[in-house]
Amino acid sequence: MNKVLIVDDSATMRKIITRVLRQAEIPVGAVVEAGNGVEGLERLRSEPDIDLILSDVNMPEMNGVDFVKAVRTSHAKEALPMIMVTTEGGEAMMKSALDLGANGYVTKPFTPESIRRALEAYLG
Amino acid sequence: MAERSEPLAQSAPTLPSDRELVDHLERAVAEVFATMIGECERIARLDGALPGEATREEGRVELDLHAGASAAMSVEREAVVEFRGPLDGRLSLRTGEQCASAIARGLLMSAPDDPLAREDVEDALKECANMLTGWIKSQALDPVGSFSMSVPFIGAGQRELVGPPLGALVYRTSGGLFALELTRRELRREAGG
Repeated sequence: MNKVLIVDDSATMRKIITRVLRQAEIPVGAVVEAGNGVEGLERLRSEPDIDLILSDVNMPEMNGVDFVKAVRTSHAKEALPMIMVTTEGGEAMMKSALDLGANGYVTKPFTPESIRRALEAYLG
Repeated sequence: MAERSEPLAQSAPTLPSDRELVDHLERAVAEVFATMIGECERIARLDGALPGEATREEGRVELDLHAGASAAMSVEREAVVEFRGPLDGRLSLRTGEQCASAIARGLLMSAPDDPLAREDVEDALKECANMLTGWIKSQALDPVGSFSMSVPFIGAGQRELVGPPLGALVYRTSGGLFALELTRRELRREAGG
């Protein structure tokens, strides 16, 4: 089963995404969480078996764009799928994240189906 | 009659009117609630002026919905998101404890008897305000200029008029009423800046 890292400064949004992953019947085993990009990088170092990242864009300390950049410049993580999650209004930052190597995005509000569509190509 | 030979100048995109912003907010509520929270029914729309309100007792206000209608509403929670750009403003979501919990349960897909921590409720209200403002920014503001949004924050629960009102919407949910208010934010500009 796949291990997913959710990076979002809202604990509630992390819970929502976790529940939506279950509801969408996506083959996810463990879910690990981080509150910003800095914590996300720490998680990746301590748990190298993470299969996919779902990351917010607008976060304090290290935002999603800088997080993508940091992950992609790490040779060990250059192929790790990264899906960005943002509000409709965050599209400019989201475009930067895609330019830096994020694989896709989901906009809030989202449905289990939209999450499933964004992730299905990356989770076996 | 001679025809104009020079091409017509392309008009610059103009900021949406107050009424159009409230239209976008109404569509945002429909989308966000239908997708992630649950049912809500609009019971009032106020263009221009925000509803008059008078404090009736501790934590409760009487909203004047115009046309002789009024509604009593608890206002114990407020989530705010500001936007800045060619137009500075803010969206405020104000509601009572029960309705805030109903919104949080909808977002979290929680059962009615699941306990909710205070921070879960506040976080859910902030997310709701964030998604609504994000919708307005994407649909109404980004096409005409460069805008940014603040991180959502919890307000004092009391009306804090920071500039001219744009409009308001009042909705009923299974947990009670909530109000959304859009206001322009009057920023003090540096002299000569």
